[in-house]
Amino acid sequence: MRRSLEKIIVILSYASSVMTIMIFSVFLWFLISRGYTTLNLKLLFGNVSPYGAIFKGIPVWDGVWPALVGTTFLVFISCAIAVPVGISAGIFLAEYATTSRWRSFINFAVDLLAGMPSIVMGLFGFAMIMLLRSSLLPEATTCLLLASICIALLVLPYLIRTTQAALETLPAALRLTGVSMGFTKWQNIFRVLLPYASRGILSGVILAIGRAAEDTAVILLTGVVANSGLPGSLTDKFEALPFSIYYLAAEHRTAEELNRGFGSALLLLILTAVLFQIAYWFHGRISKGSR
Amino acid sequence: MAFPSTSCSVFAQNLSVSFSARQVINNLSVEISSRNITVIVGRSGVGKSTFLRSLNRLNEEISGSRTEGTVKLSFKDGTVDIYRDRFPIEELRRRVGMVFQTPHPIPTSIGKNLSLPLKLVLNLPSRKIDDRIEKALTIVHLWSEVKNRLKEPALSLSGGQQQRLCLARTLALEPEILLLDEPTASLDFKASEKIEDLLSELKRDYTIISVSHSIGQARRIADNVLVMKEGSIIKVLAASQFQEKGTLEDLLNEVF
Ligand SMILES: Nc1ncnc2c1ncn2[C@@H]1O[C@H](COP(=O)(O)OP(=O)(O)OP(=O)(O)O)[C@@H](O)[C@H]1O
Ligand SMILES: [Mg+2]
Repeated sequence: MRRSLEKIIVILSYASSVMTIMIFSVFLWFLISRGYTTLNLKLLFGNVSPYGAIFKGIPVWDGVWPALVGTTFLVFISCAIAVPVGISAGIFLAEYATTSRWRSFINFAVDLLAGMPSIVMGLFGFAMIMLLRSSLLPEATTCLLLASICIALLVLPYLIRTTQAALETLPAALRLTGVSMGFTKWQNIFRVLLPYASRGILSGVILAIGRAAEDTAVILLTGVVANSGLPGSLTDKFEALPFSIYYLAAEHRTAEELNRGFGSALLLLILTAVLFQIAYWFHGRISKGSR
Repeated sequence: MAFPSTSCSVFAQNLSVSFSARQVINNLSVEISSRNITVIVGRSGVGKSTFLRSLNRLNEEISGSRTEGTVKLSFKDGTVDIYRDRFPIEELRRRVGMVFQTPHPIPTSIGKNLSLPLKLVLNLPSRKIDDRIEKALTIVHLWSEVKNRLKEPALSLSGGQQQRLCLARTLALEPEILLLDEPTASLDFKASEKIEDLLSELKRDYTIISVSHSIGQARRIADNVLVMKEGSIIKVLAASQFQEKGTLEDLLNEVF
C-alpha cells in the first residue's frame, strides 16, 4: 500500500514536470509558427536601416525597436531601484527586525503590496502625477521614470520575500560561524550569510525581471504610448514590447499584422531570456568576487 | 571578586542559561586552569555546547536565550568579567576561539576561509596573511592536502578536512582560549590521533576546553575531566585520578 502510494506520487511528480516542459514547448511552437516569418530586421526597424537606427538615432516609426529599447530601459531602471531596496528590506526583516510587533507590521505591509493588482499600482502612479501637477511640478507628466518607479513597487515584494526566506532558512549554526570569529553582525551577514543565500535571492531577481518585462497594466497608466520613438530621457514617454504586442493584436487589419504581434512576443521572450542570463552572469561575477 | 588563582583562566559562578524559559545550564560553577586541556563529558543534550557558547557570549546570538551569573576569563593582559565589563564582544570572541560540532566553512575558497577573518577581524596586511594561512594549515595537518587547491571552494572538502579547516581558521586568529566542540567527531582514527597530538602541543600556549564523546580520548589528552549532568558540572576529575585503563569508565558509569 505504502509502496504503491509512493509510486503514484513519483509518477505524478514526473508527469507534472513533463507537462511543464510540454506546455512550454507547445507555447513556444505556437509563437514560433505564427511569428517566425515576421522575425526579421524589418520587424525591428521597419524601413530604416539598422545602422542608422542604432547609431545615428534615425527615428523608427513602423518597427518595434523603440519598444525593445523601452522595455530594456524599464527593466533596468526599475530593477536598479527595486533590487537594492528589496534585498536590504529582506535582510532587515530576516536579521534585524527583532521586536515581533514591528516585524509583523512590516510583514503585513509587504503582503499587502504583494497582493496589489498591477492596475492599482498604475492608478497610483497616475494619481501621483496628477497630484504633482497640481502642486509642485505643473509640467510633470507620465513618463519612463514614473513607470519604472511603479514597476519597482510592483516587484519589490518578490525581492523582499525571497531574500528574507533565503536568509531565514539558513541553518541556525551558520549564523554563529562568523560572529564566533569576531565578525561584526554586518560582516557576518555580508560575508557569510548572503553568499549562502545568494542563489535564493537570485531567483527573486529573476522573478522581478520577468514581471517588470511583461507588465502592461502599470505602464498603460504611467507613460507608455504606441508611437514615441526612443525615450531621450527619463521624463520622456516611451514604448514597451508588451504594449506593442497588445496594440498590434488589438488593432490589426491583416493577418500579417497579427503575425507581427506574435513576432514581437517572441522578441519579448528572447529579451527576458537575455536579461536572465545577465542576472546569472552578474551573480556569477559577484560570487566569484567573494572568492 | 578577585580572580581565584593565577593559574586559573576560566572562572564561572552561578551560571545559568535558558532558551525561551527552558533552563539548560543550571547554576553552574567551575574553575578551569590555564594551559591545560579540560575535557567536558556528559550525555547528549546536557548542555555541553551551550556551556562552551556561554564562554564567548555566543548564546546571545540565539533568539530567546537568557544568561545569568558570572564568567571571568583571564587573558594575557588582564581579567575580563565578560557579562559585566564593557569589553568589545568581537575582541572577546576572537580571543576565545571556537570550533563547532559541525564544521561550517564560509562558501568561498579554501584560502579565503582563512584570509577573510584575518583581514576583517585582525586587519592584517596581505603579505602577513599568506604566512599565517600556511602556518595554521600546517599545524592542523591540512597544508599538504590543500596547498595546491587554495582557490577551490571550501565546501568541496570532505567533512574531516572541513573540520580541520575550521580549526585552522580559528587558530590563525591566535586566540588565547580554545573551545572545541567534539573536534574529532568526523575524523578517522589516524587523523584524530594527529589532532590529539596537536592539542597536547597547543596546550603550551592555549587554554583548551574540549567536548568529547570518547572516553578513550578524554583519558589520553585531558588534564582535567568535567562531568556534566542536567546543566551542571557534577564532578571534576584530575588526570591522576583516571590514568589507569578502566578507571575513567568506572567513575563515569557511577555518575551517568
Ligand atoms: N538554539 C537553541 N534553541 C533552543 N534550545 C536549545 C538550543 N540549543 C540547545 N538547546 C537545548 O539546550 C539543551 C542542551 O543543548 P546542547 O547543544 O548544549 O547539548 P550538548 O550537551 O552539546 O549535546 P550533544 O552532546 O548532543 O551535542 C538541549 O536540550 C537543547 O535542546
Ligand atoms: Mg553539543
